[in-house]
Amino acid sequence: MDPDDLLPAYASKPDEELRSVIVAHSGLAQAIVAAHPEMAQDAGFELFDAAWARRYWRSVVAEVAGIDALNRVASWVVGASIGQLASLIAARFALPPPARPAAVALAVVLLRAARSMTGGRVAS
Amino acid sequence: MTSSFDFHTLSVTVDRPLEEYTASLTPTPLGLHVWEVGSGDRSQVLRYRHEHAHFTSFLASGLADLYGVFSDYTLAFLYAALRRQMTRAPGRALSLPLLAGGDDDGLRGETRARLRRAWGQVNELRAFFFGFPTEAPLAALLAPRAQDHFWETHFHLPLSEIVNRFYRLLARLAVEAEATPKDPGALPLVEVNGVRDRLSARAVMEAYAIGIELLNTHFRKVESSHTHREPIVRDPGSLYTIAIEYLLQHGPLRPVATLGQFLGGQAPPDAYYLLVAVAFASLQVPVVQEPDGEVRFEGRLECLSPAHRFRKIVDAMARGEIAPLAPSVRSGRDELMAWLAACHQAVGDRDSLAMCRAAHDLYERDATLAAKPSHEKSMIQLAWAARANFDAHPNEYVLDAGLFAERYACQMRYVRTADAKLVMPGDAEKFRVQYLADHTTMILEGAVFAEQWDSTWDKLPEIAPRDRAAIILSSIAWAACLFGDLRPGREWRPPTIEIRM
Repeated sequence: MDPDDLLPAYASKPDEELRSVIVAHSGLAQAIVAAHPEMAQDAGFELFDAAWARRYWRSVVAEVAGIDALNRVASWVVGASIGQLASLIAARFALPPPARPAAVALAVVLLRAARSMTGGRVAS
Repeated sequence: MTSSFDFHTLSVTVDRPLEEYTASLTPTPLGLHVWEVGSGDRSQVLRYRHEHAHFTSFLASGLADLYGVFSDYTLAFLYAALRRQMTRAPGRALSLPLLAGGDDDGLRGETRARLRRAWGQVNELRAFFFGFPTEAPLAALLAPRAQDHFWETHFHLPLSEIVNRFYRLLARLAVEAEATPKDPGALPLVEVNGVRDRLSARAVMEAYAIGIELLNTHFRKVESSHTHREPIVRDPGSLYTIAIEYLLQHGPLRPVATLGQFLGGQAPPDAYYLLVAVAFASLQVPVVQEPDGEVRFEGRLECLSPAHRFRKIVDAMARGEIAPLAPSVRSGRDELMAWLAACHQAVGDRDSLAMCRAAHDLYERDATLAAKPSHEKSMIQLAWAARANFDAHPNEYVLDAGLFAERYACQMRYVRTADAKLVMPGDAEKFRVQYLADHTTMILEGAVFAEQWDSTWDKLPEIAPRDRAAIILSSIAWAACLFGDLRPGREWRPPTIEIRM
């Protein structure tokens, strides 16, 4: 499945639908949580909901994009697209083709949070 | 925004604005409860029941006491990290978060690496006891080396008591762990749907809260003209439901229902009661913070871990060593306590129920304590009140999350509303001090580690971005008071703070 085919539909999906797509691939959720112990011990959100995204968009984007300094992630995101971020997610977590929708959904969730937190514009 | 409970601050966030929330309060000693609606949208009630179940099961079970060990240690750790930076470069602005991930923090590479390793271990341990699955091997989780390396350069004598308590916990767990070498992962592996996965503490906490929510969605209700703004069948994903599935597939009632049927309210009521009872017994770890502040841990590592307890109890039931939860057990006090005792015995826990009995005895003896309003209680007194309430009314407490089992006042300390307002009972001046005391650790987590910056402020929407530097400064000063650096007759210069996120 070409992730580009999913972009128009996923970019407009509501948060809850995107969350369902992501959690359906439990391996992705497990890998993300295992890579971020600060997230694994946290509480007060559901994984991949809007509160989670506001808290952890920076850490997950930094990890998949290979950015060391978290205070530089916001500027990287300004030029990032959903397709580009989805590809980085798929590569970082070695996602098989059936899990590509989860990568695209996660990219949308992360970029939406980035936009709301920085006031920036998200490309598609 | 949806409702959520955060055990770090004993607060609940509700998905409604302050005005609507205030109007929904019951004018009774039940205080902050949003407990039922006669008609109209019932989604809020159900979500509240879910979050309230997290609150009562955390507070009455020993988990709050165990969390206190971590909370005190992380405060000491974070203050030590900031203190070192302040004393090494007095007068220089403190650029926060201290560690942003790059190398422009003014720290030596080795110092930065030590800080990160030690903090990573603390977070892995917190995940092991309270969170989502960690893949950390048991040996790495319990080896004190990373903490030793941190304290070699950050130790400060007034922190000794707290640091020693944490080391005491590590040492105890390490000894027990050596005696039970199994798979290198710290959390138990369970087979669900033919796949082996880690069972986490969070999955057990969620099993309890989901069970209470489903009992109230499908069985405990008065049929009327209720509507539900949110779907009543929610599948939050396997990280949340693996404990439920393990019980459904390996427990004594099998084959009883699929996960989908269970979440949709199509399993028999027995299955829901069994789930909440097993989950509650699994959360009842034998740890207690005594009224003088000292913490007592009992039992082996597997006895202190909700995930290990859950697996062992389900396995013991599958072997017929513990009977399923019969309706007579559900309704009889002594029967339920005996059933819980059998669960505890299966995990080698001889102390949890005695700790609850001791809490109840204390509250029976001490009329002043018994009459104290919830918002005036210390964290220790709140946890003891929750235990006493459990011991007084175990059936209501375990099988209905104690919503109406409140002989001794025990409420969440803070309610945050959808319009970023904060509610706390009591007078305003005491509130300010209490607020700082309750939130300093969390604020310092964000001040030291950039990866926790957004998380910290997301939990505290009442603090505007322009006020963050001021509250960080107050938190550092609070910690300096606690640890003896800020006291009469001693000069203490507040740092200048520069925010770099």
